[in-house]
Amino acid sequence: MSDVHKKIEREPIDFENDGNRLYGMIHHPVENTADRPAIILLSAGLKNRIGYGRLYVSLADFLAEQGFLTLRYDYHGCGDSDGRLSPTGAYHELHADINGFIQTGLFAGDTLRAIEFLKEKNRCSKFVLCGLCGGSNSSLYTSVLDKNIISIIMINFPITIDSKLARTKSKDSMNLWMVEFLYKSYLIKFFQPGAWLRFLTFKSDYKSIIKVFKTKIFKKNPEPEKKSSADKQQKNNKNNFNYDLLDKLTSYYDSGRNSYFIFAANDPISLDFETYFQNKAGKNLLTKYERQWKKIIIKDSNHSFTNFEWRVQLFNNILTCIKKEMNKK
Amino acid sequence: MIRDDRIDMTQKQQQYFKDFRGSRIFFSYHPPDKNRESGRGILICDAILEEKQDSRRAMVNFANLAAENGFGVLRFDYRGQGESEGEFSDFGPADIIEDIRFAYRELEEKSGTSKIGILSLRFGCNLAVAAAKELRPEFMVFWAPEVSSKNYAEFILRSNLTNQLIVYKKVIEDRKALIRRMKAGEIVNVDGYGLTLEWYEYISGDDFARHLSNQDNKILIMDIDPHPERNSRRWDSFRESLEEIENGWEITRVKGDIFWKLTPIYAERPKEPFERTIEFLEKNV
Repeated sequence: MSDVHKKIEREPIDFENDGNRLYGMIHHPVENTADRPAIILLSAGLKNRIGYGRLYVSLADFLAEQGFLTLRYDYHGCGDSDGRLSPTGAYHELHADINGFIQTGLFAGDTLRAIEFLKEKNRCSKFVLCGLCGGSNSSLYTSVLDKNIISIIMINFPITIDSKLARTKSKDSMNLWMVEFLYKSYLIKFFQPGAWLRFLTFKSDYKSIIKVFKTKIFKKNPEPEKKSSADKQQKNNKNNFNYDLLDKLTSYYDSGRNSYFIFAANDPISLDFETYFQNKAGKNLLTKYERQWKKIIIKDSNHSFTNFEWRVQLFNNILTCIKKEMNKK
Repeated sequence: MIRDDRIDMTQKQQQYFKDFRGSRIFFSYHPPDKNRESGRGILICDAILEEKQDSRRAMVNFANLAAENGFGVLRFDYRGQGESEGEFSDFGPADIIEDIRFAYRELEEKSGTSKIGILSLRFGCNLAVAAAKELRPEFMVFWAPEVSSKNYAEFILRSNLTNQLIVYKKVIEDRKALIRRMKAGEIVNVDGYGLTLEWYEYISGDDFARHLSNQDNKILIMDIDPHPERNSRRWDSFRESLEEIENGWEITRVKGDIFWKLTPIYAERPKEPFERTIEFLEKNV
């Protein structure tokens, strides 16, 4: 992979979200391939944009060499970026506490902003999100918020919630960071005729708009929505299973998009997925949308794909998934 | 944990690449707070391999804290590591020592001062002190230096053995076999990095205490341990091995979580190491 590093132009970039400056790196494709989707690699949990054993640096170089503009960036409170991770307003010292919030969409706001940044800076219009472990949760939670994301590739996708703090949080409540993000985006849309057209033709998400403005005007935390089926299941949850994933995946597949699950054979997460999701809680969902997902196993590999041959397999599989989506009408 | 909000009010980092001997090195400069400018710079020399990645957040937070305290701080990635170009196995320890010297000159240029100190972590301490012989920095801070290199070399290979246990449920290639393979010119995979014989021999044979004997600047050597009250044979034997302790040297063990490895604690702002280092800088610089 050494020769690949030499060919690819890397550009350090930064953008702001919610008062935090976020730092990242764009890998530019060797040839101009403007019609292709841009790829955003989403960091695993609290790992930074470089990834385990520089996995993301090599992967981004590989994808750029194949003609895809690729962005890696650090979420707020991680790597080089500004901010502090305090999803409940209190500071947490345990990885598991923070991971729980990552597994339920903590970084979706940062990722939406990264997409906006690439749209403005590089005129990208379509995106594929690809993430390992917590990065795969970030991919899913972002994908339901933006239809310009044409596909998601979820590597070692966790189906449980690590933290009790996150488990007890009402699943459908809107976080303050999400309120802030949506509020800013609505203000921008105020001056966009297309947005008004959607609003006047009943295509907007009125419930969210009312909730965001109500929260901003009355300066209080957003009220949780009525209990969904996922909430009820979460209450009786003994395996820490993240029932919210069922709602998110249903919403994602209903929009007609495909997803890919890639697992390392020696990662316990792979067994969790098979036992508790594929054959249990997610069985009906996966059967209903069987044409829209594919599962790939990388033989022998560990969670972080440390061996070079596992990486080659992983990279080639990711490339195949992206190309399949590009060819889809 | 430090709850100092100043850390979050950072000035924008300047991130850029610069060519050095045919490869691009990644730099990140944290400019000093304009109201507290000290006219001094700090070069940060990271740990190596995966310890470098796992400690990145803490090093960024310290760089921001030092910048708030008036220092121009330069972080950089060694060639073949982090964001810099190449693979780990493409460069040996001598190359990395050259990178440190190059980054030192870069900081002089960037900050406009020659009053520069070096702060280093883990094996970065060993590399920094080797580079410092030529540079003569004003001060040096060593965080958790690897005072027993042989142990560190064994620890690195252990990672490969652990991986074998996960994949094959047994060790199929022991330490001796791995070393034999490196002697035959192959690389050994350690957490995704290619370890060469050159690196392995350098790490096994390095002597941090011996390097220190040539230093006559202000020095803070800090062991970081979640339980500093417990005896550490490794640390005691390091202290005994120092021929003499110069004036202006501080050697101490402080309480702090292990922030250079993935542990259950997210130790992104280790309180005592940060505070003791700022105290040392205020007193000596």
